[in-house]
Amino acid sequence: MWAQLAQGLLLCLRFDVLAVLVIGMSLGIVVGGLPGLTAAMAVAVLLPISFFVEPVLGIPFLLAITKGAIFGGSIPAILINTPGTGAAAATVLDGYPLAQQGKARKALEMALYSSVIGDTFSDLVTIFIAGAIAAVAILVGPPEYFAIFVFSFAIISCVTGRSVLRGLMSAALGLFLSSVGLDPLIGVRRFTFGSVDMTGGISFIAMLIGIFALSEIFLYAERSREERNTEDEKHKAAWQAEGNEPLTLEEFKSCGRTISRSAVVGTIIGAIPGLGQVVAAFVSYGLAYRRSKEPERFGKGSLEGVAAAETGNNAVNGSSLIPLLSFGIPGDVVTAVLFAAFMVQGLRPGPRLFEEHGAIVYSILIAMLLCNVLMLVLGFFSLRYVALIARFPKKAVFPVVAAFCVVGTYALNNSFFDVKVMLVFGVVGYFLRKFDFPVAPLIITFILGRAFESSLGQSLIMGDGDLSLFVRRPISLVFILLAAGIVVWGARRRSPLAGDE
Amino acid sequence: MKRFQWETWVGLAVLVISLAGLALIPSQVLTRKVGERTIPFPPSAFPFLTLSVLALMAALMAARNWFSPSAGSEGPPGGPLRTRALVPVATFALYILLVEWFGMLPATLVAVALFAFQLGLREWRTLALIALLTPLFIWVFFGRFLGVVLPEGRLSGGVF
Repeated sequence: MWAQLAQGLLLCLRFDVLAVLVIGMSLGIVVGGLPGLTAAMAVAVLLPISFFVEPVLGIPFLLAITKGAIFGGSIPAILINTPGTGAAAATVLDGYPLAQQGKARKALEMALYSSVIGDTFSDLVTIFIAGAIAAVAILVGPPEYFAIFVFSFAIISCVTGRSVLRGLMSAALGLFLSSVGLDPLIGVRRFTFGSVDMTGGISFIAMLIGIFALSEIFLYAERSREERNTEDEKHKAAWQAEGNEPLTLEEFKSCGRTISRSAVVGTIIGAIPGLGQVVAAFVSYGLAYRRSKEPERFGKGSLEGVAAAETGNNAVNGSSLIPLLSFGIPGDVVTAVLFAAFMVQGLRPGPRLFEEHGAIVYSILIAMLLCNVLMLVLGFFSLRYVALIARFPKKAVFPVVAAFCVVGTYALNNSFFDVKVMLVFGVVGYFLRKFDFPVAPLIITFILGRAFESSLGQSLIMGDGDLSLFVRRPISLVFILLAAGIVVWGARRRSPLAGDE
Repeated sequence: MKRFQWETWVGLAVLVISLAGLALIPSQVLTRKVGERTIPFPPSAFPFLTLSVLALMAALMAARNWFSPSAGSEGPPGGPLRTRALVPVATFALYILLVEWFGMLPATLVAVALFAFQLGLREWRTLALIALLTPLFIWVFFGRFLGVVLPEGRLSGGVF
């Protein structure tokens, strides 16, 4: 491991890597600062760019965008009471009251420092743990893999979104869509309708860009002109309300315990597929509230609240790569995009990745640490300017995003078919969002569907069609029981035959 | 007669789509034998399983309106469906056609201007600026820097 780590360090200490990280981080902060543009949308639209460069440049570029966007999301959350990304939803609770009290700069600086600390802790844990877990994961066979997939799908379907029923429907749809094209076991065509373009299956990138970027444009466009103008005006006016007093060392020190606790909580939550930044931010916030000496200040402008939420959501960034790199299972939408980026670069995420491409993987992980240093520097010097840039109205940003969607999707295979697929999934994404179907289960089951089917098929071939194989092997039995427990818990919590809330 | 809520309609729509998918399996998926032995997990099994689960869940969703009167009574969570959403979809379809006919750069110029106008941008200088700069950026960054072969368009005669 140490030799690979040293090689990785040498690989990422290059000028072009640093330049790409600066660009990615700056883009991410700006995107996160624009309410309505999410980290997932940004990495989806910019994913095709990463295919044209080597993995040491392309994947850290996407990671820098994600990290920048997660932090950037706290800027509008604090200044205009609108989280730039979902991850900043908990930051609003205390960030905005602080801004109203003229302490916006204190809140922004606290968000920056706690984001960097949470992220760095999580990255270090990932660097030292992911390889060890991958070494254990090599020993796992198809039945265990199948059970781990079932567990991951269950947790993602039951935790994301407000309805377990819609989560499961979304997951089933993703699995079905993954079956289009050639069957992974014996190469039989399925649901291609005689089209050569469909033989390779549905393009994941086209689907992703359609669901995240296009549907967002459609949703924005359907609002009336008055609604759009009112929103823009509200944002413009709110940006004026800033405070200039910096954060003091005493104030920062007083949040030390909260930051440490939230970094651990966020890292653990990030390593569990499906939970993600929003859960980490709220759990950290809740714990900080319970342990605080001044709980009465929470919700009214507590720096501790901002620190907890921002440390928690950023601590997910590193550890969410643990299931991806060790088992090849993306835990959320952003890691699903990274899964695609790894695959296109010829790096198959999973237990063998560290064995076969250890130096590259460690260079990517070290680049994540560099991103944090950049976040600190760029964030500190650019907070005020980013706030200005983020005032751009969506009506000027979205047409440019639409053009990038087309050129990015086309550039993948020089195919208009992919662009049309993207449009179809833009409409699908519009309906999914309208009817509150969570998109994360669809995306993750779609990307893992073929591996899931292969593990199921291989297990059945191993057991000669005997399904009891899954309960005879202890690891698979444990994961299947855990999955069943999660579905039962989800159904009891929000019964499919009762209301959602 | 109980009034159907949006959840019922969505559930029924997904149920119909998944049943149609199940009906298509025999024609769209080959089931073959390898030698004398039947494959324990034939190619049709996975789509069959996933569509069956989807149909079951959709039926549950459609039925829950009957068991819980409040379910879905407040309209779609993302707000009502508006016909205005069709306009950008149509513009996007037009954009794809324009790219096929005239090439990426002129099509982008027109489409960006159209999109911006539709979204309510009425400051003409800003509109012209983004309409001109976007294709220029695409040409420089994707065409020159990344080496992407941008589509020229069937009717452009190789001009773009």
